[in-house]
Amino acid sequence: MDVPMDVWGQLALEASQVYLTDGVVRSPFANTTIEKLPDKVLLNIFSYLSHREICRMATVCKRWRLVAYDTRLWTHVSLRPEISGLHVGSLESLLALISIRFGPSLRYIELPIELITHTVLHELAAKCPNLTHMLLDFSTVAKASQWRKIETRGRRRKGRGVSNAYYTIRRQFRVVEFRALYCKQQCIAMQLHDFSEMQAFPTKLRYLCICLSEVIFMEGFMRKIYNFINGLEILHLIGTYEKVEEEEEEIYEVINVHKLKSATPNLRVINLYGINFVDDSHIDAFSSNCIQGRAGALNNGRRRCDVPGGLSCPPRHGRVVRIDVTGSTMKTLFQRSRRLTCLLMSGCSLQSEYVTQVEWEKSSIQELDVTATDLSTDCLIDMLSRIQNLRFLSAGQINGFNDSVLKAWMEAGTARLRLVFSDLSPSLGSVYTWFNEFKRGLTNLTDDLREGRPSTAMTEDNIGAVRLMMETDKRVTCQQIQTSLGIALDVDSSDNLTDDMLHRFLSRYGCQLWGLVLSGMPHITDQLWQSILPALNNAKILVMGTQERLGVNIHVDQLMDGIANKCPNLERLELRWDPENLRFSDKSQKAIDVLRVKCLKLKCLVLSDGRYYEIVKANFERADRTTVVRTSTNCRVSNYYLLSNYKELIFN
Amino acid sequence: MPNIKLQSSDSEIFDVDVEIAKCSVTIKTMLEDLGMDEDEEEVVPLPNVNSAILKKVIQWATYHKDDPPLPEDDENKEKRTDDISSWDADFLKVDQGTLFELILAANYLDIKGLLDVTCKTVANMIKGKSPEEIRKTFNIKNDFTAAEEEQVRKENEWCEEK
Repeated sequence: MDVPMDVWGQLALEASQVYLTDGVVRSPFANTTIEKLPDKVLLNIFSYLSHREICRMATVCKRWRLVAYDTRLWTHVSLRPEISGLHVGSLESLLALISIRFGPSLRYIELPIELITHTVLHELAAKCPNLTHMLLDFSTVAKASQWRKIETRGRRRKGRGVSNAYYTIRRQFRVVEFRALYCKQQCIAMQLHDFSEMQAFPTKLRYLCICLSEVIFMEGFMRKIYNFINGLEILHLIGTYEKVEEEEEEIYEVINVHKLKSATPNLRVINLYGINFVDDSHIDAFSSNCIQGRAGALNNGRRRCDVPGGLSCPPRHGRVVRIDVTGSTMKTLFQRSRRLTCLLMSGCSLQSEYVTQVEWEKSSIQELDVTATDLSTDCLIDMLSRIQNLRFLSAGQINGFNDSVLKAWMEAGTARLRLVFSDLSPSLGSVYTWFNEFKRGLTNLTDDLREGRPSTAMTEDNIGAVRLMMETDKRVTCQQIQTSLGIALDVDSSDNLTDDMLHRFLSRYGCQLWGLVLSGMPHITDQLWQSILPALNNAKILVMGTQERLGVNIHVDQLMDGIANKCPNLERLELRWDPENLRFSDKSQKAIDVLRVKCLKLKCLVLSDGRYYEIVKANFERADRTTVVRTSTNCRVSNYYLLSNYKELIFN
Repeated sequence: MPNIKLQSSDSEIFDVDVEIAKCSVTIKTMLEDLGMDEDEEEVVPLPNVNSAILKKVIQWATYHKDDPPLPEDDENKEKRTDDISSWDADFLKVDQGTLFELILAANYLDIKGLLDVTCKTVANMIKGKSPEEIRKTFNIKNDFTAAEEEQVRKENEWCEEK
């Protein structure tokens, strides 16, 4: 419920007045005050307050102070004021907080550059034994870009020859030089602290996220922590994704990926987001690391390598960030890590020839993102027909993704998919059978399958999958098993796909899809959607429309009605059409009502800001589902929610 | 559906559907531990809850009987207070005394859903208020000495926005 704060204030006031006025006791429970509540309950109430408010509450009375200092309220702490975290003014107060307030409860902390010092890290290592998640932010974007401007100016003045020499020097001296430079430029007192004294670092980290700056060389720091981070399972390296605003900007390899990988043998999830120096050798480095990881026989985790896949941030402002990963080492990557299930490489400079060399048929890849790459039609056809268990494909903004790809995929690739899913409509039935067989302890189903069965290898893959799920969660239901076999397809802005082909493809395979993104294509209008909706009865995520102004109008009421009646499981929906193109009538309320009532799982409905948005928002608000409807400026829907390790790939 | 009888602290007896009563973990364990037969006409005494409050609790539990079970406490889940349903908001438009009695009852009976929504309501009352306003709203005495107050203010000033 989104009640404005003053209503709550009013409510609190009225409630207190009931028995406070003139000592006349009107409520039978006037003697029950907040002081009667046990500490445990007060703690529960405080857990709904922000850290800033908790601190304020500490000054109310002695008892509240005690509760506010309870370390259980301080398990997840962000100290980055720019990203709605707390602001800690001095190192001394942070050191006091770590021992007094955070203590052993602290599990997650975000530190900004000015608070990353060896004393702070020593204290965290000593006082917070349960710290498993840490984010170190070296970027502090505003300051870095400010610095860059000064630098550019300096470079112009000095002329190129000088500046090159000057960069070489800086590269040699790295951190030290960087600090000196900062002082020289008198550009804010922000500097990377000296870590030569550092002896300790939190040792139980499973998750480490480092936000890199383009100009700070990390090696001095990293060298000190390599010994402490070998338990790391999830690593995020986040670049500033602000690349190349001005001419010939030089790119520095600010962190040594090769050394980092040898220090972290247990990595399962790797996310290299928006880092401009990443190239094939780095991917190679991580893949060789995979071997070591698997040598420790226990590793059954899924390994994923996420090269600038934007989870929350698609290339900003329509600028495509190109990363120099050509795919030359992809073949080795897949050879070495057979268990790699998810590879997100949107915006990479992949070259078709390298991608074709990959032994796709031997890989266990299930989730693939090649959005905004230059893969050719032939390469796509080849790849899609060889990958066997694909359940997530994001292939938007590729010129080569045209009708023939879809057609070939239908004939080869998806035909297999179909086999794997064994006639999708009765797939629940067949999965159910496998499930039952497993309960009876049968592990080899190949012989029991009826004629026209999928090839042995694939069945085993499925059995593996089914068994794995059953092992991890005995309560897993058939519904869930079927669920994880669903697939998602994203072909955003693929102008070379015709609506006819899409129609043919989707009416045949639509029922397998959980997520479908057909956006950025002006020729895909409500007509196509209306025709394929009947097939999309399992859809959870749908994204439609383009921001370009169209010559035709979208009959949004009928469309909403269709969605409501055909997709009962829908969770997220985005309509990207320009508000001017949305045609609705006075009956629109009815259509929205139907959508609201039939799609009860809908938790996110994104529309372009405009009149229709207002109408829909008001409608959902009246039904107290206030957080559902959002504008496209502050929310974007994508299929990424369907990635099986989505949770581990998010970063703040 | 079999019913059971619940007895409030002031000896009033409520006839309640077992399934509804079981949303209270306290009652549920009691029934399991005692191995109470559903045919038996036994009365479950609830000495910590009086009839007016018990009536409200039953009203709440009846309305929410078909709710899906609450998800396990997710460590990383953001705790939000803006998701109180309008029925609950109306239900909780009561004086402070009743609200706190409901919290105590929910705590004693171990009804997580009710405890959460009532605590959220109190959190919403606290949000955006200065310590002085809080004391006034909830009738809390400031028991700090001047020196202590200065000390605690210092301890927490880092948290205020700069």
